[in-house]
Amino acid sequence: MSIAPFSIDSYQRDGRMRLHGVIAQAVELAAQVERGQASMPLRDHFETLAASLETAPFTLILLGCDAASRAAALGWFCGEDFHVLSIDVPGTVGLVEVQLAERGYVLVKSGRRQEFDRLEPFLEAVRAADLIRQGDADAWMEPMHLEVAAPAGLQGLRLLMPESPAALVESPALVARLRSESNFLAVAGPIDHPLEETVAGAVRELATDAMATWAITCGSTSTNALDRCPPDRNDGTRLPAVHLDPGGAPPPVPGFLLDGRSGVRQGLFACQQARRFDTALDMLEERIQQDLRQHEARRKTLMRRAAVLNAPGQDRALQEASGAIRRAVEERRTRIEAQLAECHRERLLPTSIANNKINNLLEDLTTDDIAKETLGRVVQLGVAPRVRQEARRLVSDIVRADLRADLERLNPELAAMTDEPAAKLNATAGGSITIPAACTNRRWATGASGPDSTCTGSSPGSVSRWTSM
Amino acid sequence: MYGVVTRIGQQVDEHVKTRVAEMARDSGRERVELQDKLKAVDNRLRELGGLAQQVSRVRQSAVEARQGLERAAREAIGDVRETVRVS
Repeated sequence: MSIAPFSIDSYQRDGRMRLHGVIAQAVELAAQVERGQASMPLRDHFETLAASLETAPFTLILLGCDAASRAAALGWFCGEDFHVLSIDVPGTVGLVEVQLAERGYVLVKSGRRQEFDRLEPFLEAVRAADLIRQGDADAWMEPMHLEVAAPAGLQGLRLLMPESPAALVESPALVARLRSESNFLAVAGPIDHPLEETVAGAVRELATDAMATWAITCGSTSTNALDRCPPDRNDGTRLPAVHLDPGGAPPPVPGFLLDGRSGVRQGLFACQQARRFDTALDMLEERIQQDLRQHEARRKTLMRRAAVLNAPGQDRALQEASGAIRRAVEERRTRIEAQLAECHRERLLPTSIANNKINNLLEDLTTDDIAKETLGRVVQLGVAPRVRQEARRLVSDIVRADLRADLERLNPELAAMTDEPAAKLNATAGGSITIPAACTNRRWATGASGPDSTCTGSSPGSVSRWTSM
Repeated sequence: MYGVVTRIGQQVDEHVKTRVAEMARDSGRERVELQDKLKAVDNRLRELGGLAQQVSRVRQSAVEARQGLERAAREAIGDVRETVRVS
């Protein structure tokens, strides 16, 4: 239902105009906060709030201290069905939402809508409705939604009927929902006996921050008792109580409820929208604070990284480290080459093992080791094939042994030559740096052909190795 | 064999030189990127600070509007009570 444009008094007019203005500003602010997001839930919420200023139904909580009082109050609102309309609020649902409509009856549950012309089949359907969604009855609270014919003036009014005061005590979520959606609290209860403490406590709890309270008493009339009925707030937000006598004619529905332009309805409606806006602003503020915290943390991280990068002498230290590493590589290379030269010199000495072996071979030669071949008058003398083969094998063994010795000495030196610079560079740069092996496919092909030093590729972390075959 | 040792030494040396140059280049680039990111974060922080102030102002206006509306509602309820009392 729509709310009539500004009327009644200057407070309301001014307040509603301000509310429109600040909601529009909040829409803009939320859009700026959520800029760049695929969905903008906060902005959408404020837009919905702005739209609801004109379209939201006037809603009251109808809390029955007992089921009979609640049924009586509902029947009273619905006019001619006063004596027959009785709707139970199932405990598994916790809340029934009744929309007072122009005509007919509608039951909506889990998105399924059933329409009825008459009350009886409607009530049958309500009783037969499957009200529990299996598996999550505890966590889930979807109200049963009904539309019920009501007299003119009350059409468009929405009633939220919780199951019982005890259910409110057990479900803070239900209380929060009722607070956020209702414009005021109506409590229906028996007048002829006192309320249990649990019920009275629940009523007090719900009335604590209700914008207005209204007592609907049922039972034998007692004028004096009307003022004692709950809720017992006395701060100017209590509407005059109404008494329903089951034996008598129902009193007329008060004008403040029948007239959509009444100051009470307009005032309470606008107050509720203002409260909802307040809550939405809390969410927006929280979101901004959260973004601020995230960006502060990110800034700190970036600043730390920048401080490391900008540390004085960072580049110079790197250059010095690389110079030292390169000098170390050069020294190691020179040392290896010197060792190789010394080995070769020792091998070529007249007293070296290899030379001794060759000398022994030569000294051991006898006439049997001479081969003689006569070609006519020419006699050719030479080394016998057996001796030549023996000499070849001897030289080959010497060369192979020398090479093996060289390789065994070289491998660890070459590994150190590549590994150490990588480790030092990593330590200096403080990160993960790897020096790929200079050559990874260097192999000793054959004893006779010498090392194959062709580089065919490199891979990080691997170390050159020569392997003798 | 001398040649092989020499070549490996030269390659390691060359690699160290290249890698150090790369690292120097990378850190320069990273500095620029970090500065850009810091600038963006600072801008967003300033923006969020401004938004927080605007929300505070909106809240103040909303509180005033709500107080006016509540006063009006209470007066309307008082009128109704007075009417009922008189009748």
